[in-house]
Amino acid sequence: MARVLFDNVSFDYPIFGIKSRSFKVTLMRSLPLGSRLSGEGIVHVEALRDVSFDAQPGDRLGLIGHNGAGKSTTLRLIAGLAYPTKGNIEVKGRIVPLIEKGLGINQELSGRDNIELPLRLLGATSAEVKRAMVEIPEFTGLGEFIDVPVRAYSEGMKTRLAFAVSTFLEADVLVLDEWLGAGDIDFQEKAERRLTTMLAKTGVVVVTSHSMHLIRKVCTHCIWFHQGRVRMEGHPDEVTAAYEEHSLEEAAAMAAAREAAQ
Amino acid sequence: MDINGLLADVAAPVRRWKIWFLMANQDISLRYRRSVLGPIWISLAMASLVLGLSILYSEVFRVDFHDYIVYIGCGFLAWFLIAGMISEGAMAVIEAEGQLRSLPLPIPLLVTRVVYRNLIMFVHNLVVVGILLVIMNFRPGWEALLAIPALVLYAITGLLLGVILAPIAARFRDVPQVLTNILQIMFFLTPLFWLPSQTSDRRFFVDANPFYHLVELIRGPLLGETPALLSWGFTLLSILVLGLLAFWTLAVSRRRVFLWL
Repeated sequence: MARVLFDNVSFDYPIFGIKSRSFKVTLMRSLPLGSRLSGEGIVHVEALRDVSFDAQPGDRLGLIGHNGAGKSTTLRLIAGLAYPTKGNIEVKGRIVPLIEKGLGINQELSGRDNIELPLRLLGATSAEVKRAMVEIPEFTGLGEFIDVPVRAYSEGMKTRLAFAVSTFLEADVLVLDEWLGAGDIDFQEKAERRLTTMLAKTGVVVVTSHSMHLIRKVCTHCIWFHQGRVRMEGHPDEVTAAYEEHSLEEAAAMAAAREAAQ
Repeated sequence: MDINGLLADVAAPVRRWKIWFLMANQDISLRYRRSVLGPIWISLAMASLVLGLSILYSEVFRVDFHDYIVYIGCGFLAWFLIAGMISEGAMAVIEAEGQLRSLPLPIPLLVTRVVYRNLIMFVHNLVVVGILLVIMNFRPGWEALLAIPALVLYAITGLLLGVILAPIAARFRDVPQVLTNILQIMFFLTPLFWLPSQTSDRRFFVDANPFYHLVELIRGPLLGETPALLSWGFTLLSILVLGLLAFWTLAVSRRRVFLWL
């Protein structure tokens, strides 16, 4: 049973200045007269404010908004990397978070050696790893390169390996920061097919993207984040249209302001 | 407080042992890949330090060369394991930064990787320095087997210290450097290349030093002595205190580590 529930979730996070990251400075400050030491302190940033949604099996949730609007923060909260300051989060089922590219891929190790660790980190069982050791070399078509250090790979080969590892596990909840790239053209069709089969088996997908085309194509529901709040949500067609209009207006307003300044 | 989450973190090194095992083995195999002898270079450097110091200081202190080199060699084996677990243990979170941005990994799991990696390094050192000492006519007795339970206590101490230090070092980035300084000072304050019997009035300096007791637990048995009850007691007491501290640090930091990366 897959589910992602956000109930009035708020999230603040601290940004540390260089001095507040120093043990010695912090120690000195706590001494009498130490507070006279100047230096930047800790600034709190409000990343999310009162966000609620409920994603059930079959839901494909698309998150859109400007950089820093709270999309990635939402993904990290779902993945259990960060915890909400206020409100409640409930995630049921096996989560596979694909947030950073090339998770745990070590350039010095061979392609084969780079299969097990990322999968284990994502929570693979021994049976799954065993299957992956056979299927991934075959699927990627890397041939003899599978036993060569990844550092010697072309960009296309690296992407293929990362793609194959990322899409190997069946998830209840799949968390994606931007869509998975498939690399070179001859691989794209194969990748597309695999992605489709994988998604069909996935309960809930939460994806952020800057591509409105993708959101309209893949998602069943869309949330537009603006400055940490939900600005609009609903059918992907409507929300992406409103977002695109807003972005155009903003661009026009900026152009006008620039003209006025000259 | 999220007790279930906390207990899951504590149990993670057992339940998800494949992860730290794999990570540590990769760490070691990478060290081998970078140069022909890999980590053995470090062991060789240690062996030459032991040999050099022994030649010089057995003269300075006017003690028997053969006794002295065995004393230094066994002491260094113990010391470098402790120092390695502390300095690398403090880096456990920082070195996994890339992975932690994408996945939640319990701190104890990352620390276990470091402790296990250091135990492998210890075996390397043991073999290389051991060969040197055997050439120098070192014949350990049955007491040496007492070093095995001592190693278990080392591993526990290393785990607890790592769980305490790793999140602190992630939050305060100058902590690893401060630790290096402390370890440097302790290297000289702990009887490693000098003998405790050389201090008579300031014996307190030795007895109150937790590093001394830890070192004794391994060095003693190797030298054919049963370590003093005081050393076992002191170490067990330290483990108790560290255990409480580790639990507290974990409870405070487990939900925040992400913010410190």
